[in-house]
Amino acid sequence: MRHLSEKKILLLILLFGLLLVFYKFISVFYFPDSDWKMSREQKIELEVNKPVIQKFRSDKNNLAALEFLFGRSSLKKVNGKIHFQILEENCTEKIADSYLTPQDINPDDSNAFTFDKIADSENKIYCLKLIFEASDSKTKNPFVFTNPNDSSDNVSLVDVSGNELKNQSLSMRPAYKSDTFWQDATELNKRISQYKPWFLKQYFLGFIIISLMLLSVLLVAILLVI
Amino acid sequence: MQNIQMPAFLKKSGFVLALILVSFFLRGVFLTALFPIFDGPDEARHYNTIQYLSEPEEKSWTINERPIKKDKSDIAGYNFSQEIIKTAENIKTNDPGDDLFGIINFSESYIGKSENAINLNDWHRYNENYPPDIAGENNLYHLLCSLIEKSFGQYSILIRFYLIRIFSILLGTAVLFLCYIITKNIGFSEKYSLLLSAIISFQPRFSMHFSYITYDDLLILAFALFTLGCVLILKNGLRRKNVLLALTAMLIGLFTKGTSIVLLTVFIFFLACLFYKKIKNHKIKRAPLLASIILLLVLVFIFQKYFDLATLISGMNFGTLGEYLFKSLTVGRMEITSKTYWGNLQWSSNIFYDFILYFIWAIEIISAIGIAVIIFSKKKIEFLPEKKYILFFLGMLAALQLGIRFYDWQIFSQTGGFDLGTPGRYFLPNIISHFILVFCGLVAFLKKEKYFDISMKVGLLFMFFFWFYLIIDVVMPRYYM
Repeated sequence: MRHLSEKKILLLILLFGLLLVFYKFISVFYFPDSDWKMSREQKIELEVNKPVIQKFRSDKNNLAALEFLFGRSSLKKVNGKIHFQILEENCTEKIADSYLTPQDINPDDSNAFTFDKIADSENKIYCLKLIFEASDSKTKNPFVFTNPNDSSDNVSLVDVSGNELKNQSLSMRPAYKSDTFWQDATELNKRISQYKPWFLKQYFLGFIIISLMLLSVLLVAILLVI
Repeated sequence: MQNIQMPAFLKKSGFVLALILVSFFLRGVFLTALFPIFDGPDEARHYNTIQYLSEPEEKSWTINERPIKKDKSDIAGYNFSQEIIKTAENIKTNDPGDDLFGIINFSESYIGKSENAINLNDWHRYNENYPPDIAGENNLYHLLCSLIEKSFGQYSILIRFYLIRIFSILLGTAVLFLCYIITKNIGFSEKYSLLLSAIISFQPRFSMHFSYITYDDLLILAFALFTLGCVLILKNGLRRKNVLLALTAMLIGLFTKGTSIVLLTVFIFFLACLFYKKIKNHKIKRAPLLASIILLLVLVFIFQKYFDLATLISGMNFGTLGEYLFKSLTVGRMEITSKTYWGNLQWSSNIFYDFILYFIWAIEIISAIGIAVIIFSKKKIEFLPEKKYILFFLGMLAALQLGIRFYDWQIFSQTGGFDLGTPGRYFLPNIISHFILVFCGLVAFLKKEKYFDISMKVGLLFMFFFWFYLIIDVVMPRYYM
C-alpha cells in the first residue's frame, strides 16, 4: 500500500465508486407495469401480525418486485418491520419474502419489495401477504392504500379482519425484469425514448449515454493524474 | 510502482477544457431526454411564453377572455396554447398529482402510445385564452428561444421543445467556459482552473437546471459574465472593455429576470469602492468619475421604473420582518434550500442523502471559518487569489442572499406564507463564486499546495459520484423504473 502514490489511490477510488454506483443501479433494474394505477384513495391499517392478503395476476414472466404506497402520518412512530410474503395462488406455499423497516420507506414515493425473479410468472395468480411485525407494544400501525379495482388482474383483497373488500385492490404495481441485462438495457432505452424527438431516441440515445460515460470517466481520470 | 504515464496531448489544458465542455454538454443532452416534457419548474409556462412570443402579430383567431387560474391540478385550466395542453394530456401519467410514484403509461416500443397523435402537429400553438399564462413579456431568454420555435415551426412540438432544452445546455456550457476564464484571471493555476470547472460541471443541480426550459439559465450566464467583468476590472482596472463586459452582463440579466437587480446593486457598490480608493489615492480625473456617476444614475432611474421599485419599497411592511426571519431561518427550511441546491435530494428518504448534506454543510462551515481567517490574515498564500477577489465573491453571495430573501419577505408580508420560498435553484447564479470560496476557505487549514491539490481532486471525485449516483440511482428510476 505504501508504494501506491496518491494518484493511484484516487484512481482506485474512482473505479471502486463507479462499481458501487452501478451495483446500486442493478439492484433497482426492474420495470414496474405502468398499466397498474396507484393512488391514495383509501387506506388499510396494518395491524400487528394480522395479514392483509391480495391475490393478483402477473401479466409477464420474470416478476421481480412489487411496489406499494405507505401512509405518511404514523410512519415515524412505527416500531417494527413490514413483512412481505409472496405465495402460490392457494396462499400456502411460500415463494419469496422480504422486509421493509420504516427507515426504508419513502411515503412520497412507491416502495418496492424485491425478490429473486420468478421466471415463469406470466398469467399466474399469486397471493401476497403484508404483515406488520411490531418490535414493541407502543408502536403505531403503518398503513397502505387501496384503489378501486378496475382490472381483472387484481383478483381479490382481504383485510386484517379477514373480510374481502369488494371492488378494491391494494395500491400496488408489479415489476418485471428481463432474461438478460441487455434486454433490460433495451427496455430502459425504449422507455426513455418515448415522447422524445428522433435525435434523443434509440441508437442516438444509446450513443449519447455511452459517450457521456466514457468522456466523463476519461475527464476525471486525467484530472486526477495531472 | 511506476508513475502513471499519459500521452502528452491528454495533459494539454485545451484538450481537458474541451473534454469538460463536451462531457457536460452530453450529460445535459442525456438529462433533457431523461426529464419528461414540461417536467421542469414552470416549464409549461416558460414554453407557453415562447409560443406566445412566436405568435403572428395579427391575431386572426378567436380570442376568449379567461382569468388565469391558480389551481394547478388540471393543465386544461391554464391559459396555455392548445398544443401544450393536448400534448401534456396525451403524455399524462396514470397517477394523479405530482407524486413521485407517477410514471408515464409506457408502450412496448420506442414510440409512446400517443406519440403519433402528438407528431401529427395539428394542434393550435397560439394562445386562445387571454391573458395568456406567461412568465413575463419581452424577456431575452424567451425571445431567443422563440427564434428556435419559429425556425423549426414545421416540426412537431417534441422537436421544437427538446431543441430549446438543448439550447439551454449550450448556455450552461458557456457558463463553464466563463468559470475557467474567471478562475484563471483571479490567479488560480491552469490545473486548478480546470479542476474547479470540472467540479462545477458535475454539480447535479447545475446540470439538471440547464436541461430545463427556464429563463434562469440565461440569468446564470449573465451572473457568470458579470463576475468575469468585475474580476477583470479588479485585475486590470477600469478599462472600457471590462466595464462594458460587466454592463452588458448586467443588461442581459436585467432583461432576463428581476433577480438581476442584485447585479445593479453590486455594481454600484463595487464602483463606489473603486472610486473611493482612487479618490483617496488621487488617481482619478473628474471627467470619468462624473460620467460614471451619471451613467449609473440613468441606469438606476430606468430600472427602478422597470421593476417598479418605488412601489416595492413603499409597500415594505417591517412589522412582519421579525416573524419572517424567525420562521424562515430554521434548520428545516435551510435543509430544503440545500437539498434543492445540490440536486433532487428530497426525492429520497434514504439516510445516505442526509449524510451527504451534513457532510457538505460541515465542509462549508469549515470553509467559511477559513475565509474569515484568510481575510484577517496578513500573510499571502501563493496559490490562492488575492483578498480583493475573495471580498468581491463574498459580496456577490451576500447580495443574492439578501435579494432573494427580500422578495421572499415581501411575498410573506402579503400572503403570510412562503409562497415564493427559497428553493436552492435561486442561488445557482452564484455557483462559481460559491465554489471558489469553498475551496479557498479550505486552504486556511490545509496550508500546503499539495493538500489543496488533493482536496480539489477529492472534491472532483465526490461531485462525480454524486452526479452519477443521483442521476442513475434516483432520477432515472423515478421516471422509468
